[in-house]
Amino acid sequence: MVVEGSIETGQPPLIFLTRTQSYFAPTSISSIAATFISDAVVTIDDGTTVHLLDRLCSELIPDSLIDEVAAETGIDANILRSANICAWTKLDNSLLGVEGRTYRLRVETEGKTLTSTTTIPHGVALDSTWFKLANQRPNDDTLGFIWGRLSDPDTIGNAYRWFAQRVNQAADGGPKDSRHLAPLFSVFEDRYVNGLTFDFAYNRGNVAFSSADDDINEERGFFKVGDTVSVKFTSIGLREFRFFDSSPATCRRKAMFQQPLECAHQCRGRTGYLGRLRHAIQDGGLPAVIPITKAPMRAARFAAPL
Amino acid sequence: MSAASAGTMARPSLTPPGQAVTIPVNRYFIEGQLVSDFTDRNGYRMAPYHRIDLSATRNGNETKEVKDPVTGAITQVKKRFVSGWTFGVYNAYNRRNPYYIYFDPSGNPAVGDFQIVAKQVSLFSILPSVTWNFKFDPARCMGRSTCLRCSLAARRRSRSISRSQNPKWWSRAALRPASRR
Repeated sequence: MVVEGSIETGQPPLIFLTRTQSYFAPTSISSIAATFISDAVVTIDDGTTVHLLDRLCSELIPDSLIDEVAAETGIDANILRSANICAWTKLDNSLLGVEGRTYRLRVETEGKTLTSTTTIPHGVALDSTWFKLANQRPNDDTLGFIWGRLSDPDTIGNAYRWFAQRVNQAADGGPKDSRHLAPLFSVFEDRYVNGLTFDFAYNRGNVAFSSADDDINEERGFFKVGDTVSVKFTSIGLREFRFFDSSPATCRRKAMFQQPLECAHQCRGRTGYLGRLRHAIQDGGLPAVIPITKAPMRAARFAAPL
Repeated sequence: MSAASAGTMARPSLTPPGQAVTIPVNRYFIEGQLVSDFTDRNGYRMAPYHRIDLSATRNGNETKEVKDPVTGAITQVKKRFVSGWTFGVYNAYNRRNPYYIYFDPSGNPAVGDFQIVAKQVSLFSILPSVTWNFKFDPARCMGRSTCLRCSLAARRRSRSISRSQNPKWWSRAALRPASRR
């Protein structure tokens, strides 16, 4: 059993329950949909109240909102339309992420109980962000990376995760990226940079199994002059860092020499895995925007029917 | 050719069951990314490794006939330089022994054509080999008439013969005044 849960500052939690598949099992939309669990009791204890999360299934979502839901959750719209995919969240906004608060997740399903605990750390904002050409190919004056400058607090144990979204228009009129995307190995900790101010860069992440042209051709992994990029720099816990640091090594697309690593799971009583409870800090209440071009478009937001 | 040695047959090499590896057995998705779930360390065995190697060796003559320039006798002396040929074949029945296994994903789960195929890499199929071996002894005379060592040895032999046949040479040397020795 796989539990993928996230909670961000000012956002309600979002929990998905799935099952593992045999590695060589045939994959179709129906087989993927069958891995989602729809019958469970999910609760979160925020230290004062035990909140029973509401189950929200895709068959209740109007078709006009499916694409927004797909963009927010990362689940393909075709799967949402063709199968009843359920998630657990708090629809009345009575449970929102708060910095410094500890949350205890409990999942009861199929006779099993899974628990996990996490704390939203106090956020550390980036000092600045900018775009710089990569200069990796001769005469290439359009492709580059987003850089950031961070002053790490002088306390060991800080970890971070990087997201970025291209909010400028694509050919279909929507934003190039439907949500903030994290590239592989998007996390780091302060073991070697504790208390230091340093610059770093990240490549552009993409949707898994993307077939978009700029995720296949020479622009793969690069930001381009003309893009408007929204950066979301999050502070996460060390356990979440260990999970995200270990899982990308096992999920390369063409893993010819795939490392047999086990993801640093966090769930007790597991016959499956708990992903993580995620936390986010947004700089000044809005994501930091790198204007490589004009004013950004507002990204689509998930709206659940009440 | 008369002293050619018989060919040799290599014994088949048999090894224990296949090498232990750690492979994925389950998969799941996190944020749309495929994550592999592996067995316990070394929890899977690849196919056994075995092969048979065959070879035949033909060595050249190690001796040759040499006529003594002094006595005219023909003797067998060891050659200074000896060579031979070995013809062989590795993995005679062309078994594809596993070197490693990797997994090749393709397709897109959202489209429904995603699949993972396990592929085995083998290093060598049947592999013929030809080897030329040689050995030489730098200290051994090759028996030529121009060999300096042989001529010096022949001269020593002739002196020893003449000395033994003419003892007066020795006696004359013994009676030679000390000033002339």
